[in-house]
Amino acid sequence: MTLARDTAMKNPTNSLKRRFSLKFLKTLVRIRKSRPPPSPSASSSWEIRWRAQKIKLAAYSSMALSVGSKRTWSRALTMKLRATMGNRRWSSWKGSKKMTKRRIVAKKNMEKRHLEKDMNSGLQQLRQLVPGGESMDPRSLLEETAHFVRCLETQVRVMRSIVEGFPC
Amino acid sequence: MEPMSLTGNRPDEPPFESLMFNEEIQRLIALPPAPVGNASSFTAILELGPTQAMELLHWPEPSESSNPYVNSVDDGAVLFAPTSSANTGYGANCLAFSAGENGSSPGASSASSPKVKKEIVPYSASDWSTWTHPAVSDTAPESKVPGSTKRKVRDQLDKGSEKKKKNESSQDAEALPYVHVRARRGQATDSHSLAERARREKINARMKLLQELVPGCNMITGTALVLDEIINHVQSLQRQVELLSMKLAAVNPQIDFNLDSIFTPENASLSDGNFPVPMTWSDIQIGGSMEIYQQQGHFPSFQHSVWVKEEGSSFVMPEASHITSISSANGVPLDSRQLKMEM
Repeated sequence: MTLARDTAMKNPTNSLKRRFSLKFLKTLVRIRKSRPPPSPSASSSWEIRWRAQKIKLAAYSSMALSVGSKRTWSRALTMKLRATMGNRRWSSWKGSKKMTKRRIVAKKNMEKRHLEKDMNSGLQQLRQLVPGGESMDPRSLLEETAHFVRCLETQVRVMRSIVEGFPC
Repeated sequence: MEPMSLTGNRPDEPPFESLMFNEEIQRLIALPPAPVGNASSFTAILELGPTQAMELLHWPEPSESSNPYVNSVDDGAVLFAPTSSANTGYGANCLAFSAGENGSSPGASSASSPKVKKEIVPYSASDWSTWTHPAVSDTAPESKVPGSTKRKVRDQLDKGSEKKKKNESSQDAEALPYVHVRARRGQATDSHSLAERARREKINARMKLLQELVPGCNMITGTALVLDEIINHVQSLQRQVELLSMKLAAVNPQIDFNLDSIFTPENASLSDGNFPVPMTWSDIQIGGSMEIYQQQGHFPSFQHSVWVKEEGSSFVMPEASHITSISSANGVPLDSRQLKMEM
C-alpha cells in the first residue's frame, strides 16, 4: 500500500508535461517579444548566451511552478530564483547561495559525522545538486532526488521536441 | 465483606507485583486507568461495585473442581473484563482464558504471569511482538530469573514467525510514526540497532526506486556506486538543459510565436486530452516553418519538420492533408493567424 503511494508521489504524470510545456512556451514568447531580435547574421554570441541564460531560467522556473509547492526542491528552487531575479545577478544564479540559518545548522551537523564514507560523500554531492537538499535527512533526500530526476527528464524531453521541431 | 480478602488467596504475594502486572495489562489493552490499590484496581477494571465483584469471585467457589480458576482469577478477569459483561460471561471467560493458556496449571501467580504475558503479546499485538517501547525493559526488573526467560521466550516467538510477517512490518513501519521492527534471526534486539535497521531499510527502499529510475543502474550492486551513477545522471540532465537552452536561443529569433490566440482556446478545453494539443503544436510548427520557408523557399522538406519526434502519442500530428492544402498556397505571405483561419 505504501509502495503504491510512493510511486504515485514520485511520477509526474502527463499533466505535469502539459503544464510545464504551457508555461515554458509562454515564457519563451515573452522572452521573444521583450527583446526584438536583430537580423540573424548580426546576433552576437553575447546576445545568444544572454538569451540562453534567460531561457534556462525560464525552464527551471516554469518547472518549479508546475510542480507547485508540493515538493521541497520546487519550493527551494522558486525561492532561489526569486532571490536571484531580485538581485539581478544573471551570471551566477546557480552559485549564489545565501547562508540561511537552517543551512548553517545543517552544515555543522554534517561536519560532525564521518564524511569519509562513500555513502555520505555521495549524499553530500546530491545535496549540492538537488535544490533545497542541504538540510534534509537521507531518506527524504533520496525521495526528492527521484522526483527531481523525473521532472528534469520531462523538461529535457519538452525542450528537445521544441528544438527539433525547427529545421535549423 | 472486606475487599482485602480478594488477595487473601495468596497472602505471600508482594502486592506491588500484581499491581505492576495489572498496569501492564491495562496498557496493553488500553483500559481506563485504575486507581492505586490491589483490590480496588481489580474492581475498577471490572467496573463493578466491590460487593458485586465479591459475588462474582465467590461464585465459582462452591465447586471444588473450579478451584484453579479462583487462583488465577484476577488474571482472567483482568483480561476479559472489557469484552463482555462479567455477570453471565465470567465462567465462560475463565474457561476461554484457560484454554488460551493451553491448559497451563495456575500454581502461583508469579509463575503464571510470564506465561500470561507470553500469550497476551501475540493476542493483542497482531503484527509485532518486539516493541521498542519502555514497557519491554520495565518488565525485566520485575522478577529476576523469570525476567530473562520472558525475553528469551518472546524473542523465540519473534524468530519463529518473523518471515511471514516481515514484509508487513516493514511496510507498516514506513507508515507509522512509531517504529515497530521485528527481530530477525541472529541479530541483536536492543533498541538502537533496531532503529538503525529500520532506518537502513527505508533508505534501501528509496535507493531501489531510484535505481529503477536511472537507466542502467540495475546491474550495479552497492549503494555507493549507485549513488555515483545517480549523481552523474542528474549532472548530465542539467547539462542537457543548458545545451537545449542555448539551441533554443539560437533558433528563437527566427520564429514568430503567435501563440496568444492558440493558447486561450486550449486552456478552456484542457480536459479534452489529446485533441487540442496536436492542434497547437501544428500551429506552432506551421507558423514557424512557413516563415522560414518564405525566406528560404525549401518547400519539399516542409513535411519533415512538422512531425514532433518525441513526446509520445499526444504530440504526434495526424493531419497531413491540412498541411499539403495549406502549403499549396505559397505565394501569399502568411502569418500563423491566417494559417489558423484557413485550417
